Amino acid sequence: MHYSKNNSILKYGLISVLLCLIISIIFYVQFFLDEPVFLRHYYDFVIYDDMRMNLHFITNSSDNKRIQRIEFPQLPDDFAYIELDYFININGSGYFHSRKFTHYSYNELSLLIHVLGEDENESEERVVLDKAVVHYSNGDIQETNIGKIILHKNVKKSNMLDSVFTKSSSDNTSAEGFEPSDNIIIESIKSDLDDELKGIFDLKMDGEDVRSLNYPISVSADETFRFESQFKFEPGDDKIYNVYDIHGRISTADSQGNKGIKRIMNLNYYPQEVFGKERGIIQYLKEIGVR
Amino acid sequence: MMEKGYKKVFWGFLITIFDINIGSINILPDFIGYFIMGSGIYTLYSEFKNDNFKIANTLANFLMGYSLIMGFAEYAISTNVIGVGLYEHPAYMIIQFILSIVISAVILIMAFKIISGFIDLYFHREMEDEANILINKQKKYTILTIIGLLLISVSLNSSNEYFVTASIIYLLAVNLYFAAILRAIFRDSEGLA
Repeated sequence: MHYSKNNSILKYGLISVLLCLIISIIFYVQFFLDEPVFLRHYYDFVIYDDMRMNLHFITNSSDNKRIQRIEFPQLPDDFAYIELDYFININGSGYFHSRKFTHYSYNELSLLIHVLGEDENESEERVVLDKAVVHYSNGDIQETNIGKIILHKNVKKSNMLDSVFTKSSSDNTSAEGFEPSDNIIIESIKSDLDDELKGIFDLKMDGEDVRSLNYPISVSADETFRFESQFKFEPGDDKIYNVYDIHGRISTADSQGNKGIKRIMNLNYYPQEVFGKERGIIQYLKEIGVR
Repeated sequence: MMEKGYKKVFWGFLITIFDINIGSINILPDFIGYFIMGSGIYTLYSEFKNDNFKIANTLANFLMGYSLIMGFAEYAISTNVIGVGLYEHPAYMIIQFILSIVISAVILIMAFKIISGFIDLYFHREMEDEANILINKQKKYTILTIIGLLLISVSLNSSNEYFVTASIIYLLAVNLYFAAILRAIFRDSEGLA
């Protein structure tokens, strides 16, 4: 045959393609996750009706299954109802955001909180959620640790303080200024996640760490004070993979003894830069022992 | 009669390369292209009994059946009409990837056999120069396609989306090269007729 040499090229070429394909698949399968991995969320929220809360998690980039429902077993039926936010979770995967890499996707799912029977005159209530039960479109059910999400209800809001400016930056810093309309006393500035935030989060009031301030603090009317916050992580600190969102609470009282809580905005950290490349996801999965 | 066969093989192959969609409907699905190719190859085989054409015809019919079944199956699986949960299964994407490589390899073998059939035909007609040119083109096409399949295989683990896109464009260019080979054979056929 005149083209026997070409026959050999075809034969050995196809064998090399087969070998390459097998090696590629073996390599690819090494990265496979048995089930999605949810990040640890440290949220401390003063909830209000129709408030949004996002969950971050990692899936195989080839996963086609969608999240249909999420239950929080520790959430009392009469406290709040949490469902998927169908108006926000509209990208191709059915999530709010999804960043797809070769083997994994870093996703953000938006949830909508419906507060049930909120009444500021009732005593403040709170729940701590650390587990979620996730229902997928293919029938899979996953029980997962989601970190520590604290929800506060019936919080008496303060109208003694006006926010005069607020800003936040991609370098994980933020600032907000307040001005009281009357002479007030600041009784405390805190979050229920102070222990979890130790070493990674600084919150300063007029340059001084809020944990070292001597409370109560008197503030005169029209006297502006400023909060500055920063999330910073030491090299090798695995907290860098967590998600933080804090409603810092300023407890205030006026001269008539009226009390209330004012929120400090933008105290949050999202690990988007860490998971901006697949290398970051692989490193995280190694550290938590999934890979 | 043979001219009709060349034309069918050429146009059938072009249909398999390009997808023309109106909305979400592909008005020129691959199975039509393979059907036309198969019928063209059969015409050639009727005129010139050659094992290469016979094998190419069998492969074209196989590809037609595969395209037809997969067209329905993919739609039915993605809408959960059949194989509930299959679309969501993590292995679904890998199986699709393997099948795309296997089918590309089958297309390569079919194209190789078509060219081999023509080479035999040229020698049979004592057109040695044309036959040698075709042997060279067959060699180039085979090597280029093998390189394309290797690139696609590697792309499974490549995080660079440009690499993946470039591999697909490269394989499309190689397929156009095969179409150009068929076109040249068609021109030669005018001398054969």
